[in-house]
Amino acid sequence: MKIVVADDSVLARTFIIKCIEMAGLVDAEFLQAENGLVAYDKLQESKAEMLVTDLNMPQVSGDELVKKVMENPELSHVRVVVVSSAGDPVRLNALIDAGAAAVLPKPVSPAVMAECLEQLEIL
Amino acid sequence: MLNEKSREALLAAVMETLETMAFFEVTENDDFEQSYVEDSAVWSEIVIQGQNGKLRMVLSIPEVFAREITAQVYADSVPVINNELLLDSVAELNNTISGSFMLSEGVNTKDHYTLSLPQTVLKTGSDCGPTSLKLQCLLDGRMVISIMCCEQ
Repeated sequence: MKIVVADDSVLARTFIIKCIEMAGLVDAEFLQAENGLVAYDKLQESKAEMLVTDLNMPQVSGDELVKKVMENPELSHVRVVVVSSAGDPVRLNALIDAGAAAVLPKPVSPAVMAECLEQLEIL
Repeated sequence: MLNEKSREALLAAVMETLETMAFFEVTENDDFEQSYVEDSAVWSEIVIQGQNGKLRMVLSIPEVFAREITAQVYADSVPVINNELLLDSVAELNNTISGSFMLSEGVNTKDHYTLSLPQTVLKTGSDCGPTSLKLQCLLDGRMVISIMCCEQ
C-alpha cells in the first residue's frame, strides 16, 4: 500500500510514519511531501491509496489539498486522513463534509492511529 | 481567551505532547526562580488568531535539551541532528502543544481560529516580550522547557 504523508514538518512526517508502522501497517510504502502541492503531484504520480495530511502548510494548505483530491475523479479511491493541530471544530467539520475519512488531532499516537486504520478497514 | 483553567490546561497540553511524541515524564518546575539558564536556546512562536483577539504562544528550550529531545523523537532514524532538524522539531512541538491547548477548556473559544506557521530561531537571551501566562516544565526531572502565552 502506498501512502502520501504531507506535513511541512520533517518531525511530524517521521512521527506519523512511525505511528502507522507501529499501528501494524508494516509493509506500506511512504511518500513524503512538505506541502499540499507536492502531495497532490505525488498522489497523481504514484497512484497512492491513502493520504495523511496536515492542514497548516505553505503554498497549498491541507484544506485546499483535500478539496483538490475530492474534486479529481482519478483520485476518488484515495482515503484521506487529516492529522493536525490546527483544527477548530468548524474547520474540522468542513473537512469531514468535504470527504475526509477521518480527522485526528495532534499528537497522534500509535493506538489512535490503529483505531483509525481499523475503522477505515485498512488494518 | 485565557481563563482560570488555562494554566492547568497548558500543563496538560505539554504533558500530552512530550509524553506521546518523546516518552518523557513531564512535571511542572516548582523551583521556577532557580531554573536552568542557558545561553543558547531554541525559541518558537505561533500566533493564534481568534475572532475576538490574538494569542501568542512561545516555546523556549535550551539548545542542549532541544537536541536531546529531538534525538529522542527521531530515535536512530537520522544520523545527525543538524540545526534545520532542531528548529523543525521545536516548531512542531510548539505547534502540537498550541493545538492541544486550543482544544482544551483552558481557552474560551468555540469559534473559528487559525494558527500561524511557527517562527523558530536559535538565539541567546531570554526576552520574549510580555506574557499573560508562563509555565516551566521539567522533562524526566532535569530538562527545563518554558512556554509562555500572551493575549493581544
